[in-house]
Amino acid sequence: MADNDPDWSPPPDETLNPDADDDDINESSSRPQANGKGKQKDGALKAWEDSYSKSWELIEEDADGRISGVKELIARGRRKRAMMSETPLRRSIIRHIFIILDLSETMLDKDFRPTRWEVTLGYLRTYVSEWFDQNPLGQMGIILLRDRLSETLVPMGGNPQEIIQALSDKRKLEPSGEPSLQNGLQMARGGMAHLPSTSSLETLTIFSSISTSDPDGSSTIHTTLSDLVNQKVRCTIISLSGEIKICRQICERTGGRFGVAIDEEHLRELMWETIPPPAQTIAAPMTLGVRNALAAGGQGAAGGKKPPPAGDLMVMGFPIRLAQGGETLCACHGLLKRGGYLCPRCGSKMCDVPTDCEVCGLMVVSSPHLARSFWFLFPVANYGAVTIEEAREERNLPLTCTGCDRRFISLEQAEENLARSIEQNIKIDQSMSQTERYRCAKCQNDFCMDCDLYVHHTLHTCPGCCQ
Amino acid sequence: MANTMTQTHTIPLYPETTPASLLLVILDLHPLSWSILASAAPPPLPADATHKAPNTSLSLTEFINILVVFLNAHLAVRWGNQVVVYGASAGTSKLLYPTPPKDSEGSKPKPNMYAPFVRLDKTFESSLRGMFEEEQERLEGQQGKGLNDPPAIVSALTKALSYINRVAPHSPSSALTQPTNSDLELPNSSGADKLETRIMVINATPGSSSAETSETEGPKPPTRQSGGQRGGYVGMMNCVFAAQKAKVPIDVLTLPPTWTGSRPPIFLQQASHLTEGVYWRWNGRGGLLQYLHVCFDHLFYQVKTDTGSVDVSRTSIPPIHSVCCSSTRRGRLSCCLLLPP
Repeated sequence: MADNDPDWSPPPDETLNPDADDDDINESSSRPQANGKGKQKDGALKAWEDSYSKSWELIEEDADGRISGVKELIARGRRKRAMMSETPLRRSIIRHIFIILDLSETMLDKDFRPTRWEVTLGYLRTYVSEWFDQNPLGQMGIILLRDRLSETLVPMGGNPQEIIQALSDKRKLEPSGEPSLQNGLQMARGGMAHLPSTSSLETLTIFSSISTSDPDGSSTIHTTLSDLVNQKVRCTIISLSGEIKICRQICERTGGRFGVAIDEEHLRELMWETIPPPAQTIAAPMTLGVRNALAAGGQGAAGGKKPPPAGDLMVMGFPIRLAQGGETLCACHGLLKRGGYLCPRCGSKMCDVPTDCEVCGLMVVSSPHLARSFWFLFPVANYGAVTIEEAREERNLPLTCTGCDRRFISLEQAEENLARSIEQNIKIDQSMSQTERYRCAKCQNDFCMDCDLYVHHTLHTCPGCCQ
Repeated sequence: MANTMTQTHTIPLYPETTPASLLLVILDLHPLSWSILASAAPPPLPADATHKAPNTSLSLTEFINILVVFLNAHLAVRWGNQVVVYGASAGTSKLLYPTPPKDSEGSKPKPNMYAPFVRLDKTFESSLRGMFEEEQERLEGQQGKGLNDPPAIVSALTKALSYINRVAPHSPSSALTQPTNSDLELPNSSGADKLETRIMVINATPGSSSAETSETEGPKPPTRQSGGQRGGYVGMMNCVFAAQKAKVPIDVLTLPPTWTGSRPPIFLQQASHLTEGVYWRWNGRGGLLQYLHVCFDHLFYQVKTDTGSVDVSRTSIPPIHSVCCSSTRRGRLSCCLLLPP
């Protein structure tokens, strides 16, 4: 593991801490220290030996009252976005994911404050809502690994509230025993066996232990792995302790990603990387039957030979919303409920959309759910930074941001700022604009930095282009 | 309802001081829509409805008068309330109020008028005139070509959301770092100092005309359903999702009344439904200001009922509204739905 990190060197004086747990030392010495992020602790202090760092005291404000570190973060985000190619990419919009959580005793380790488990759980709650926000047609289930068994905490479903509810009950989520990765993967595979191959099947494992204790017998984790590969389940594993060979192997063979979380922030980054829909890996012929059927059905008696439409097609239904009337039985739970939706094909009632109809198996969505995925189809073009030279040549430069109508800084002020940062030997970031103007390539309107972020991260519509 | 009424005496359901509120109004200023609204001949009321106010047409001047009173009311209710107005004309949108102070116009402070009122009245009027002049020039320059563009409501919405993002950023980062129970959302945690934001869209453009035969002479009104409009459905939905994320309700007042034979604006209906805002279609009769207060300025209503000093039932609003509005704050939606057609 240490080979991956050229800057890393073993801490020189491990004897400093005679009372530290042996386990902890072995484990963490296989983990790289966080470096290059300004988090290198002085000397050989480990994360758990360090005194509490008062991060709020390190904050510095610049002249505008903006926190100075933030700018770097934003610049990094900009660079990242610029690197993302704008070439069209086929993405899976319908995703099914099982989150496999290691709930072994190692989860109680305190190298992530307060414990690994608390940190994971905290992130997981926001992860779930964020995931459903970006994948409204997706479904999610949660599997726990403890005492060498795997148990389903939440079965595959499309309701984020249900999942968050299950995650908020801490008494049911006590870490204990050892995990069995094989059992967990088997259970996830079984839970997704009935799903059509048009949807993207995934697992996200958060693995804290450095070993897995799998059942004896003829079936080993390697057979499970080949099953997963056959079923095209994409496995992503995030390890909280160190790199484990079998984990990396699983991820590589199933097309997922493997990552070792260095610290809390890195864990979050790794988790959040799995939120955007992955690039499509399903072969197009999978849905050829559907397309042929559609092409044949469309022509009717005319008998003209139309080629099947290009691209994959899926059968979906838009349900009829029932007015709040009397109570009727729903097909999904068998309970008397008010309101609900009617399947457009078989007419059975379901409680919530999006879901698969219990009776005829039709995928039932509402149009806003579908529209939520549109921003992948119509992405906002990246905004380019306006340099001082460019701004000087411009005849009538807009005074305010097109988005939020904030006043831009004047050119003189921009030059002043530039001169000051040269004086102080601050590295000038090319992706950041000295004039604090960012221009949309399409509509040629200028935006401030906040709007640039907001438009690209949240709004996904350029205020200038839609005029 | 009765349950909440009894509870209010023991446990206060909402904080004593309501937070300051920021109201962003998006005003449809499409010249064609307003000319249709102002010139439409209202049908006479049926004989059995003589006690009701007669159907009237509405000109922009009349409506602006009403709107300014409404906005002033919003400013007056609580110190710290703010108003932002965007104008959306054919294909463009513009911030009308507050505009950056141009030059110190020899503003004589009016001693008998609340300062925010003066500011709003003056700036709003001048920027409105400025926008009309600009539009006239622009449309004349294009030889009336752009006139059939739909109003740039989506563009105004994106601008309003960016404005909210700047003024009252909804910070997801704090929620990410602190593992909080999202189902245990404390009403007090949002604090009295947190700005409450709402977007109110005032639409004057009719949806596609349902009765093609009763088409009025002159150019056809710009229809919202027409394909190929810029930033149409996708843009609107993106705005809705951003508003949902920021927990900003989008209220919609659509002005073309049913007797013009036009369909309601479907996208705006969906927007208000998804963001849990208020949707109301003007019934084409008088008393618009009162309806505005009842339906859209919930804060105004709440203060009145909280202090108990104003008896709501004494106003000429039908009693059914007062029941809903005075009992709970959440009655807003039901109040709008219960309005008699």
